[in-house]
Amino acid sequence: MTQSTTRLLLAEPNELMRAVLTERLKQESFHVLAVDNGLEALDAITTGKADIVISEELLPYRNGFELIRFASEKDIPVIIISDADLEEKIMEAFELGATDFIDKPFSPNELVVRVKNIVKNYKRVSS
Amino acid sequence: MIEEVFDDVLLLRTIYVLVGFAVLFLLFIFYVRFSYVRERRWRRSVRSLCQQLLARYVNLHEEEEIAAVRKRIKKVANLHEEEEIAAVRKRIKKVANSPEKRQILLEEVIELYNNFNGVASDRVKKLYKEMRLYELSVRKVESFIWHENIEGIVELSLMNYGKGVKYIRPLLLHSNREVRRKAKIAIVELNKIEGLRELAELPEEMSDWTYLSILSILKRSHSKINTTDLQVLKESESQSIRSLAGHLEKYMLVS
Repeated sequence: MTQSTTRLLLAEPNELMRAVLTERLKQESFHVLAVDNGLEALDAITTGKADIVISEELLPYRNGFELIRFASEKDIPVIIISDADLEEKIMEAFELGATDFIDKPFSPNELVVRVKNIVKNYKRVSS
Repeated sequence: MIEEVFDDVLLLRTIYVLVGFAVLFLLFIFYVRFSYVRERRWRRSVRSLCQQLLARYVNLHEEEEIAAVRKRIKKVANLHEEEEIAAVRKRIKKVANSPEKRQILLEEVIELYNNFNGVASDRVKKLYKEMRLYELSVRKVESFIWHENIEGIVELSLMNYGKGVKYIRPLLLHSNREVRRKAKIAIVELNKIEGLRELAELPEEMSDWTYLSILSILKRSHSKINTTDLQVLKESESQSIRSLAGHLEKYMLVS
């Protein structure tokens, strides 16, 4: 997995957030599939359309934590974005198998760095 | 016989009138529905354009590119560089009762600011001032509707618009308790210790929540208080301000 071949699934219900993050991630040459609900995200995960999942915790139909479970089964790293910076939420996300957790408000640049780190680690492990 | 004919004509006319009214009513419903759908589509398209522009704006690297996008955003906001502030104010007044493109842009800017920090939020804050979106927030603060007052206060304090204090100040004595509460917090958020001095002049006690919010703002901003300001707070009529003064003396006093 290299940066230009990495397919990112961005599950974010907020249109504006989706637009900003998609724009930023595309600048870094990632392929971005942006969806606004949990069902579409789940479909993309199960059909193998994503290498990394970036998901908002609260999604319509299926929440971000449910997605972690499905993604973990396929060894897909998941970054959870949430505005509840409660310790128990963060713990729950990591216990379910999330790779990273971002607390709102955050910088789009921070997300990019975290995604790049995952790609880098993935490359290291696979080589 | 004549009476029967007369009755029939009357009945017929009544039916005509009723059918006429029904048709007019239906036309009216269609018109309202059509206007609503058209308005919704318009708002959606403007919102989508604002989102695209803001997404580009906060993610741009090059200064020239930022300038180009800023120019386009100005176009969306119905602002032209050659226009004077007075002319813009006049135009805003004209559309005061209908949320136009600027209002949509403002909503998106606030949304963006709530979700992002760092460079993105700095740029958005700059945009808020450059596009004079604070004028819409001030308008809300000056509104006669209390929930609009709150919306305006929150927008001004969130975007840290210091000049907004003079508009928020009169709301410290508003008849609605919630407005007064938000105004107190915003005054401290924008003016820190100086804002607290203003609150010291109010006899009204503040709620526990307001007290904690104010304390949290002062701690977050690492505010320091000097002995003169502390004395003003200690002499306040309000018990909660005096209690706050005790806390500040212990932890935030500059000797």
